[in-house]
Amino acid sequence: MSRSTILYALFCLGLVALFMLAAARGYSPFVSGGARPFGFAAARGPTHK
Amino acid sequence: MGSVTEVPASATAAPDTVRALTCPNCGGSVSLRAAGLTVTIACEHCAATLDATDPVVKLVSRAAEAMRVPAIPLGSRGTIDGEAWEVVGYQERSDGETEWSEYLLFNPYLGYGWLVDDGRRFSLGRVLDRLPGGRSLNLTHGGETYGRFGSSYDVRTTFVLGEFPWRAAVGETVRETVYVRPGVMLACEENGAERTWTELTMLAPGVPERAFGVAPRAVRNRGTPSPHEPSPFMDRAKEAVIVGGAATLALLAVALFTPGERRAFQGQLSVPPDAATRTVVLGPVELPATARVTVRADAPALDNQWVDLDYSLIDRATQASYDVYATAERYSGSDVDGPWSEGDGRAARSLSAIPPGRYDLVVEASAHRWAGAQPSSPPLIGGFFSDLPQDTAQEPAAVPVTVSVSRGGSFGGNLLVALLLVWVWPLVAMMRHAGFETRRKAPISEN
Repeated sequence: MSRSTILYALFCLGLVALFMLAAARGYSPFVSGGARPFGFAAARGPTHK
Repeated sequence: MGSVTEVPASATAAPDTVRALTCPNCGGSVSLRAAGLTVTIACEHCAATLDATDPVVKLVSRAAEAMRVPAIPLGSRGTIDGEAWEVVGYQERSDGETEWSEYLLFNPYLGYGWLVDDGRRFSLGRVLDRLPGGRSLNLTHGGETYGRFGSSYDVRTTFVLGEFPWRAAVGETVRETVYVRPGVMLACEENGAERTWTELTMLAPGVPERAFGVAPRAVRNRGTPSPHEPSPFMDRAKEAVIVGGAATLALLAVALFTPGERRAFQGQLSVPPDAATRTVVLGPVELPATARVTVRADAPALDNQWVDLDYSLIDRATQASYDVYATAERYSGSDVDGPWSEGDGRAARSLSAIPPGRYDLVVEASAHRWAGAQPSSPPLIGGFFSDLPQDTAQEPAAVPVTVSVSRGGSFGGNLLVALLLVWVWPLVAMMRHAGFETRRKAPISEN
């Protein structure tokens, strides 16, 4: 097994560990929370027409 | 042509089998290492070709071009794969596009061998003592299959030095056809008189340099590889795919066995359209451990309306607030294409890694009517359509909204990003392997 493969396997191991931790704690770096911006009250309607 | 005077071997020459001759062209001392087998010998000093079959060795031809010094000097000895070889001859050859060097090796017990240097890697060649089997495009030899590499081509000798078991000379041309498998090449050389098969095995980097005591050559993965050069990226790509596959299975298993969502609370509120924002406190929401929290709103009665929902999940103990907002909407109508609808009156938003505790969900809701909504068909009054506008006939009803809070579950985005990260390296390795193979096959692709 080449050195690059060993490094890649370690990377995958770390990635799986981080994924397990995120799954256990319900964490996601992509969730955008926060309050609605002040004055953010736009009129809405259908967008397909 | 002058004659050659035989002189005693030097006292420093280790083997007794070496005979020293004097070149009739330049007067230099020429060593004859395979006496009895050598047909021609090229002077090490002036490159003149001498006839070694005649007891009175004669000058066959003078060198037509300047003397060149091979990287591995004639007379060098080395051991490759446990077999000792001595370099007795050297020639340079060309197919019109590329040039390479061939060292003729000799061992009294093994006979002749070749050390072929293509500028990138060395290959050890042995003449086959039996013909390969198979048809023209694929051959079998030693239980292995070899694929034909391109068309036959002419190979011309451009420089000769040392001794050879045939009448080697500059300008000698043979027709060559090669068959390859990774690491090994079968080369068939034909001229008008004979056909010779040679098996060339590519040596590991550094092996011939160490064997013959020359400077190690840097491993280069760029440029045009030899037809039989195995891709250095093949094994890495295979290993990367195996490791990547295992990591993918592990990620899928984690995602599959992560506990799903559990409902923590559900409540209802009604929101009058085009009225002031209504604030409702729902709860309590119990979170026993840090978890993802998802807030869903369901307003099936929405009709050309939307509801803005601002949530605040407030920890009763610390008053820490986790905010998020959503919009539930549904519109419908009819145009020249027929009836249409958009939205389903539902909205879901998730909060990441909310700490354990007892929470209240504060909901600020405001409902609005779409100004561009088409009026419904006027009601029939006494068999006639009424001229009264609908919205003046009655006030719009408040919109009922069901809000539910659930905890647990995992984010699909995490899995997607993890899978992408896992497969970056295998893709890079496979692309490098494909690039190497493209360069290796370039000579036949261009034909």
